[in-house]
Amino acid sequence: MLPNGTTSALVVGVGLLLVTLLAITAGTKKPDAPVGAVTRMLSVGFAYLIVIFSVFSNGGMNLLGLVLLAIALLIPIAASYWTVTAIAGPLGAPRLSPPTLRLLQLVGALAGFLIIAIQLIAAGRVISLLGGLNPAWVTAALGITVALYVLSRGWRGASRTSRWSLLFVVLAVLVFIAGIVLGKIASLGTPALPTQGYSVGVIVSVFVVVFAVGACDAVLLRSLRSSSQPVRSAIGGGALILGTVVALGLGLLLFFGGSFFAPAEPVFTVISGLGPIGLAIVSGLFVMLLASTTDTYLAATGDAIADAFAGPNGQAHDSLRSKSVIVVGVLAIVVALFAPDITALFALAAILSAAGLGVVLVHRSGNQAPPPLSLVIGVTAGLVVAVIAGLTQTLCFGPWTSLAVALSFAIAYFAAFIAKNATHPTNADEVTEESTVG
Amino acid sequence: MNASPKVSGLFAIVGVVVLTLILVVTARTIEVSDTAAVPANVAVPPEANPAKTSKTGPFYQNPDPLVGVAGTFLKSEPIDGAPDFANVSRIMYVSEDVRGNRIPVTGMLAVPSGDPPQGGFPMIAYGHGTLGSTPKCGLSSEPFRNETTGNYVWEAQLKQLVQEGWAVVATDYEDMGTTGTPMYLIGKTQAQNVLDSVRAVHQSSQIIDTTQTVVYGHSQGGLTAYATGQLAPKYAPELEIDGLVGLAPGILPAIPFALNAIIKDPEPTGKTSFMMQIVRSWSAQFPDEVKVDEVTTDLGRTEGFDAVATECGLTIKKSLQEPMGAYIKEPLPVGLFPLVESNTVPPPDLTMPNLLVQGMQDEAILPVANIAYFNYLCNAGVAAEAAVWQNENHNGVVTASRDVVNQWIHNRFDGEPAGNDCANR
Repeated sequence: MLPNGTTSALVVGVGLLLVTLLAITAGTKKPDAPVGAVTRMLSVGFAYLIVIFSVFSNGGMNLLGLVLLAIALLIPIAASYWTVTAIAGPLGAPRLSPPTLRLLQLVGALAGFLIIAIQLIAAGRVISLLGGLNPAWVTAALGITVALYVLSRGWRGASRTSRWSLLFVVLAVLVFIAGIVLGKIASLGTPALPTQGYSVGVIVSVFVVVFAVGACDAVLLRSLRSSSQPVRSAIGGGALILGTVVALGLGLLLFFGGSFFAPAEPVFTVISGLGPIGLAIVSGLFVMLLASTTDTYLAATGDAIADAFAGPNGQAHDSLRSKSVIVVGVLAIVVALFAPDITALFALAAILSAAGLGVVLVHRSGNQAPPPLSLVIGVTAGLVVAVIAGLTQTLCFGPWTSLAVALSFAIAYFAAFIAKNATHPTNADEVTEESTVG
Repeated sequence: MNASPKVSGLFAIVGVVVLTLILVVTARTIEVSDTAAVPANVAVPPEANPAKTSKTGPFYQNPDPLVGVAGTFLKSEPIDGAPDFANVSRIMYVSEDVRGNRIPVTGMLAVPSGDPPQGGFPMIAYGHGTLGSTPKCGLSSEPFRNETTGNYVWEAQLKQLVQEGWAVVATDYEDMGTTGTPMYLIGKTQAQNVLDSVRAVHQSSQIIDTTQTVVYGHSQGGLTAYATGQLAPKYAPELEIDGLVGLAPGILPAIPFALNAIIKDPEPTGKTSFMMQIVRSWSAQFPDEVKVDEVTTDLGRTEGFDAVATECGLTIKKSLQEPMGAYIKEPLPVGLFPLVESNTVPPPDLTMPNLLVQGMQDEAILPVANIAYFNYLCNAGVAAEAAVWQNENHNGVVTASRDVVNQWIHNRFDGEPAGNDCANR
């Protein structure tokens, strides 16, 4: 019925402790094995799911919404695979010059930072409602906990906790079975509660945004670049995400008579029926899932920043990585507490990623350092479009969001192109070091 | 920063423990009263349920033509037998049905005896719970004759509100006094009937404080209260409403398997009375969406409809002794569910203070659905308050919550800021 805040707090605390123990006891097994990449992709899929679901369930989710959701979740993997195979190259043999690769990593880190903030916002919102906890403290607790164990065990620990995302698969199977038993297949075609439908502008904007973010996603790029079999990793991760989301979505659609969140009250009825203990357990599981996603992005972001500024190895790298984890963790908590708009943050990540991608594409060949100004101009253009179109409206996803992302990409691309052609190939900006950063 | 993994790991564990303690300290738990249940015979009529139909005299004849816009006061007359502490009259006014057609509606106005305070009496706009759904079941016709629906409402709820020093206007609702289309559990209509009752009283009485109104309702009327709060800014923006109290509101979750499961219950249930009234009303009000033949069995169309068309309150329940599946077809047609949603779940765009009161042993409605509605409001950013009694049932919670509710209403009239029990605030 009503949540018991004390019980929920204790269960959430136990959940955070379990994830922490799992992370800090991570062994020496290589974290970048293909299987690890697949479970990590499920974590990434969960991060994207939070945003995409909030868009496609606004006005109700039906079978069409589920199909669109599934497609949208595969796009980031396809986009990052494209970036790896067509632009960046694998970890051991990068195709980009070190400065261009740095730029790509930094853009991925910035987008990753925004995705971390989104996870923290989701934690605060959902767990406060489910468990009766203070949302600000849930956000802070998740952010601080993840930062602490990522500081301790970094990417290795984060990779290990990704296994918790398999809980999501178990949950999906259970919900699917419940839907099959209690629901009727016919309801998928004729939902009990009609939804508001999806505009083409919103659908396109979701696809554009997830492509832009996915193409520079720090976790996806690292997973695919470090995988010995990137194709298998991409397909395996995609299949796992697709299977999980379709099973979960179909189960919920059948359970609720062909649609849900149209409006949300029936969903709350089922949730409220769990009782205080059930609500506390769901809160605990949810925080573990979010922790396994947040830590992956935090570790990847810390590593990307350290790689970009201090090279791939050494004490300087470790020190910078630790500082980055702290700074990114703290800033993400601050953003989550004071700018809690999930779709706006994700749209911002897309505008940023698109500009970065534009600059990287211009500089994918040659050793010339990409001018940072190109990136700034591109991002500014995207933001100007967003602001002109009306921040709230635009960043809720729609045609203007797509335009902002496209403009950000195009202007950054042309700015970088003009800068590249205007610069003499032998000037002081030319980079002659070997492409070893990865 | 560069501590060994063991040290930093230990630091992480200590951090989690500290953060957990902070989560415990800052958690919000809505207090659930677990006091013993109020005996059923406290402050309510002997059977704790209304049963007798009321006689409707010439006052209830529909005016022809019906003159005036919604909220227009048409007429009033004193009701005999009122206690010394109250002046009670029945009123008729213009309101609207669910499609916006003007209709005559009756109700009851009870005002404390004696001089009004400066500015007039604060007023409670009351929405009654399920009493039936025919003109003979209205509360205004015979509120002071034992075991009538009106008497049940008066004894259980209205009397004590008047004794608090508040005027009370209690609508009968559409087709419950005057004659019209059967109406039951349609939030929009019920809200319009309440808002127009307030308008009518403001027009006709000089001793009511037009700046102080709280909406109050139980069961069907709890739904009315929330629907009124949601609709008021659009339908009657001129009214100053200080808040609403919904006791055990009749909110139905539009979940097919859940509602179908209720119909499949092999035992006779009091919920059959509610379902038959819903079907009779909605098939009349929304004939394109609800086809009688698709929803009811032969027995439902004969005995079932006869019972809800001729009886009130507990008598309907006693007349429907078969399991619900004998009267209602299962599964319910898909077309019914959008109406369940639109008629019984007011959208979560409330802007006024609100208090949800719920007994967790409620046998008439689904307590979970009402707790869910509270969370639904919270999720939408509404500042909502809740008061929960673990051991109370549908009627018992009215008595058990009386002091809490009355204090809450006093606070609204005193202009004190409302609270917010939402954990996600």
